[in-house]
Amino acid sequence: MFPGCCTGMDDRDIIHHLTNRLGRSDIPPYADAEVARFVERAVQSGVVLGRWTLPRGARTPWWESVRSVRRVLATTALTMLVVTIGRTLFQQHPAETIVQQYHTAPGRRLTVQLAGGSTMILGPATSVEVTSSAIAVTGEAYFAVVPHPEHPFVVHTANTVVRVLGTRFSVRQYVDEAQSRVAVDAGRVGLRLRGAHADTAAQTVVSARMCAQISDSGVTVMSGTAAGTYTDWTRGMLVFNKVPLREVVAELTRTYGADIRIVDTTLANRRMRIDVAVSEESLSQVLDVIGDVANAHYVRDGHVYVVTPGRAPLPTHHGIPVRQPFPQLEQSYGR
Amino acid sequence: MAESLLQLYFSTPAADETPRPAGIASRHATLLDTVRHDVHHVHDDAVDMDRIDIALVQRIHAGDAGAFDLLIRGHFTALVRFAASFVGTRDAAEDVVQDVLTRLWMRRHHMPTTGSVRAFLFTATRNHALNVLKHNRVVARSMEMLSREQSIASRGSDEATRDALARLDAVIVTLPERQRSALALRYGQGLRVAEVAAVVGISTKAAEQLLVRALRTLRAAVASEHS
Repeated sequence: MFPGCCTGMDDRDIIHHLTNRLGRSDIPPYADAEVARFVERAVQSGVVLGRWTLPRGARTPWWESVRSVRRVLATTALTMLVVTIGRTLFQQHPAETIVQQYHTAPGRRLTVQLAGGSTMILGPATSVEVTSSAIAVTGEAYFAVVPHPEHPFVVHTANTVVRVLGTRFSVRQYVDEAQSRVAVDAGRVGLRLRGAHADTAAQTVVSARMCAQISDSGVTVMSGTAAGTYTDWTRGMLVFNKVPLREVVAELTRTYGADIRIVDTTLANRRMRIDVAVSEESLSQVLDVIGDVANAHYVRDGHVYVVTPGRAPLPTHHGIPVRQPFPQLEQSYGR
Repeated sequence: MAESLLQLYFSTPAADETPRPAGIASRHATLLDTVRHDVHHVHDDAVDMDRIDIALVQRIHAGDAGAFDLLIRGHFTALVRFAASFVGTRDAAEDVVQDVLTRLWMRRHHMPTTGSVRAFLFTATRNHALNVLKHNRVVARSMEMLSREQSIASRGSDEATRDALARLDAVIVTLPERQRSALALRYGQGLRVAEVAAVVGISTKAAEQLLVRALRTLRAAVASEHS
């Protein structure tokens, strides 16, 4: 006799339960459009990797690259058009003439002496436009300002206006970032959102050793040790404290001027705590450390680095594993 | 005036308007028709699906992203649900499946054109889910979480049944991974026994026995109170 009868449950009930429970019917079915998004992401990262993981015949066909070249040309043309229009309009207002423009490539920094004795340090991949009344920053820049009470020093990012008297502070908003960040080393600065009117808008004051994040929804001010680390890049240090690897890699990409990619989403979301001395450590050394911590390794092809989960396969010679030399005792004893 | 211009020039650009790769959506209708046309045998629905899948894989080998999309559409929900039976949350399951898809596309030349493609997809998902899972405890935790929800949901039913279901959940958690996978595949996602066998990596006969053994354990758990 079937033993489950006393509780009123039979095989059919059990299987019904399994279907719901192990079958996870609580997760609703996905619409085609959602699935298409997942597939697109898979296919795109696949194409990126395709350059060296796929056999010759499966590489990206030449017309794909022509299309992307065309897109780049179109963007460049558009930018030039905007700049030209901007220039002609600015020339009608001699007070706003662009005095100077500065650009840094990824992996480069630049120190500039400004008129009036102030100093500016440009971070990697940054553009700065200096006009007679304000400085517009796209990217990251550090300022040490000598006070001139009659000429307030004004810095713009895409969404923020920073007004200063005499202080040292860092401003950051890259093109792909929704919020800008202002970190103050010494002195005080006043902030307002870009769209707000200068007189009516409430200014937020940020003091020394504090840091403000400005998004469209408002200003968040932080103090303490975290704020100090945001100006460390001027001394060639990158400090990450529980930052997702995705963002660490974005920063390294800019700082070292390389192209770093992560294959795995789990890996990309992993939070890292790591300090990088840019002038002393090569990118390979940094990625080795990251690999040790996160149990990953990287493959390099020119200036493209691909970070993959798991340890690196043992080196082989014609398919035969090469015997490793003895472990370096000196290193393991901390000398 | 000048400020608004500066704003214009330095404002963040509008959301990236990259075109969808090669018009995946538009090609679907015709592609599915062509593939259906290639498939002559329409007697058995399941076998028919297998043949469609295989036809799609042949196109994927030729680098057709649209075929890949079409193939995944048919299995995506089931794959996420199956992955969720390992990793617990829906988000984690989506991550697992996303990684699997990326790898499948990268290594698309290794996709099989014989047997059941569905079994292959589930195998890949199971392997990756097991890689992601460091500890079986995570499974236990996810099941616990679920049983709390479920017990709230099933408050209406009588006490004896509720107890029995709770015991059932407790036993499902303790089942060996292979038995649990087999149950999830067979009864959760409705795979055929032969496909279950392919995913778990055993013969069809052994898979049948595995399922019987798992069910016997569950039956005993339901009845244990009264014996």
